[in-house]
Amino acid sequence: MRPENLDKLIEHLQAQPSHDLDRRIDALLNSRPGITPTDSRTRAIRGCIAKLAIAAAVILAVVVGIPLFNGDGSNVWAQALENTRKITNYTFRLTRTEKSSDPGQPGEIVQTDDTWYVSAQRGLYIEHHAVGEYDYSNVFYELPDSNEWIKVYSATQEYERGPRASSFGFEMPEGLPKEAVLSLLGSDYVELGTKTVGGRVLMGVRNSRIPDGASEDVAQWNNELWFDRDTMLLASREHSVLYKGSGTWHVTKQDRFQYNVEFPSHVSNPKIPEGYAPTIVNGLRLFSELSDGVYPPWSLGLSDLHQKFGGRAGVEKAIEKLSTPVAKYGYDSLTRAADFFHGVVQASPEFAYYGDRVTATDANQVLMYWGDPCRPCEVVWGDLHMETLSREQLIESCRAAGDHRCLVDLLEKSGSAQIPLLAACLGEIGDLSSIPALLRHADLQQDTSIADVFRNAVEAIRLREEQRNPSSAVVWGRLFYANGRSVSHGCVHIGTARASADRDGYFVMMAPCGDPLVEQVGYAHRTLGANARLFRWAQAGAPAYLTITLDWTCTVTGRVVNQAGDPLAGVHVGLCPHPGETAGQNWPDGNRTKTDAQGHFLFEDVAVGLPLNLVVENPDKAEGSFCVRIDDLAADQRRDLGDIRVE
Amino acid sequence: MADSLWEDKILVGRFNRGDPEALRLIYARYRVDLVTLATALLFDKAQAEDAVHEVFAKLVQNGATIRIASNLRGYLLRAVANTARNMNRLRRGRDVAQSDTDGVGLRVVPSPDGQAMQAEHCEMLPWALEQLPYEQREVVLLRHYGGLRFRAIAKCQGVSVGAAQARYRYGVDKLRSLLDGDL
Repeated sequence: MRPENLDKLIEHLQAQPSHDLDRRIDALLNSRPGITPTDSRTRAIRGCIAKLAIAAAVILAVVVGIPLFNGDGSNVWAQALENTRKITNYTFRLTRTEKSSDPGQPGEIVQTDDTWYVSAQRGLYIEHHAVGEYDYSNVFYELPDSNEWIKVYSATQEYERGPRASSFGFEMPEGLPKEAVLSLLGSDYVELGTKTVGGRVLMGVRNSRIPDGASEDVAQWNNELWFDRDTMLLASREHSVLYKGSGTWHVTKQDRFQYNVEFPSHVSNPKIPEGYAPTIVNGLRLFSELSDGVYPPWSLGLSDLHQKFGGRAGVEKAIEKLSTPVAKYGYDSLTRAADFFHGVVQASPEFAYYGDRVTATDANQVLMYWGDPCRPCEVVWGDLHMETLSREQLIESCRAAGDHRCLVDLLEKSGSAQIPLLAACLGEIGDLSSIPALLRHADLQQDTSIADVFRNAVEAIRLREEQRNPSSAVVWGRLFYANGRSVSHGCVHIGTARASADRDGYFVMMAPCGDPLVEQVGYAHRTLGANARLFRWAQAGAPAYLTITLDWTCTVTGRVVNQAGDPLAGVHVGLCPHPGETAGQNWPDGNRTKTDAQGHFLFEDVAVGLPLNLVVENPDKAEGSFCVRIDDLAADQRRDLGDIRVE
Repeated sequence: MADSLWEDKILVGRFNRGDPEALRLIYARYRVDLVTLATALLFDKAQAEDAVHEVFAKLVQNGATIRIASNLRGYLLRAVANTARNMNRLRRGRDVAQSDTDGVGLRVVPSPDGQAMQAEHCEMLPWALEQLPYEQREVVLLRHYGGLRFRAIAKCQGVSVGAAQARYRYGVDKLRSLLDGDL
């Protein structure tokens, strides 16, 4: 594994907070005493340095600031803050440029020229005009009412819609102007004096300090705000960043501000023109056409295609060779779709993708869906048609298609309203792999009637599977540690059958059953670790639901000697629950060792639960093995059997 | 990066000025990051959430005297790491070995570039992290997940920068061998 891969893996770790924590924090914040501005002022003047700083600031204000005071004596920047706080909606123009500090390079490259509408109530609307190599021109709506955003690309006739991730426009990495003003005037800044532009007198401030925690690649950072002296509202803003070694300033300029104006009606009424296709669908289609009808197995990325075709240029050539209609969207369609995919993964509470098993011919299988509990799901089917479906409609479609994996995912994520329907559907079409999820939900239900729906579904699946495999019995249950916690991804063996438990310790398996009265040895253990348990299982009389408690394993040592007391080296020694079998033959795998030169043997991680037999194989007597019964092994014990004297 | 820095700056300013809504916004913004770090450190979901809760309880109680000067995410992650370290000390000697890696809900979310996202590695990372000694795990997580510098990590752990770097090196080597092994 390469170091950068490890970085990426760790960066993408995630554990979702529970609703319980949200509630606890909410209660905490509701009950807290208010932190008054007086507190912060008191705090700020603590200490000699702060007092000296204030003294210096007062002197500076007297010497330098007098010209900036209005006749009535009020501070102009306090006025600017106050006026900015009152803004409810505004529009402005945004221009992104790159300015090279190298005279041999082009002086200025304009990348975008956008018009922004910002409203606290109605959201964000951007007319985005890209100018450059790749045309991403679009209109963007961020809609607080429906909690979603929509982006429409007229050049390629594509659109995107997804859950609104943040109240800040992610289109503007430096922050929206109103927040920028509040932030800059609320912290440290340098006054720039006045200048006259187009007959208006502007007053400026600047902050050039690189923010704490900024990328180490940033060499210089500059944030410059100019206010109209008459209104004391922002008239223009220029934000510039110079990265180390690049010699290029990335400049974002905002101007042509209009405040508290009436917006055009289309700003909060998104219209997706007819015939426009979702970018995710185009991207997936293009990917599958480049990959012989196969979708990306885990997530929509470009690395697989780059590897296959030798980088971006290779992928672009491969797209040019395609004669299908989707080829017209080009490489950009792939990047837009990958960005969208990533955004949806991050922002959607409900998301599933089944590229590993669904192909372009699976028209009735769900390829991916996303949404949140408050809205219908967006569903992309195997043949890449897209629908907006309610949870109930999606469940019905999955049931009709026999798509039990999707139903299990929905069961894990859906609200309580759909749970009985999901349980019934899984009882109808589910297979063994559905049982752990059903068992978990049965245990979670407070309402016994709903829990019974789950148990009935499990029973229906059991009957179906046992009819299909008459020589096997379906066994299910749950693994626990001795302290009562469940065992994640443990293993259970009964005879030759083996099953893995899920994250909550639930497992299901098809155990071989010849004579229902004959007991078989079962062995359950944590996947990697020193906890295990031996048990006996027979089809007749065994409980339907096995609860297996793992305990600490123990260590067994001893020394094999002959009648004369001399150590026997290289003798095979094994531990097994059956007295008659060859050491370590059946259970547990590998519990067989050889004595060393001094006749010593050592067994580690020996499971408890059943009496064991220490079998010493005598190489001189084919039929004869010496057997010592160990009845009282205790958890976490280090047991020394002493000298085992064999004939 | 820059957008989050900007938003952080605003939130820090609001918190330092005593804005009552700032903490709520801070929690909404970083709840997943904080719970993820605490879970990856403690491998106990309930304790991890307790750690996050404790951090916010302290921010509420001592809000008037706390002034966040550094970057917000780093500050919060360090606070969670400090609380988790205390919890880990307290629970030592108790039943800690019987943790269940996947039951704590820690997972690797897929990334669009698909790099380093082999399913087996994604699945095994939480388990592999759990195998690291606590101090090494903390350095690796604060470095890669928190993006903190070694100087900050060393200060947080109360050790020298060299010691933090050594812990990091041992931790990363062990992680690589666990993930590249045939387990």
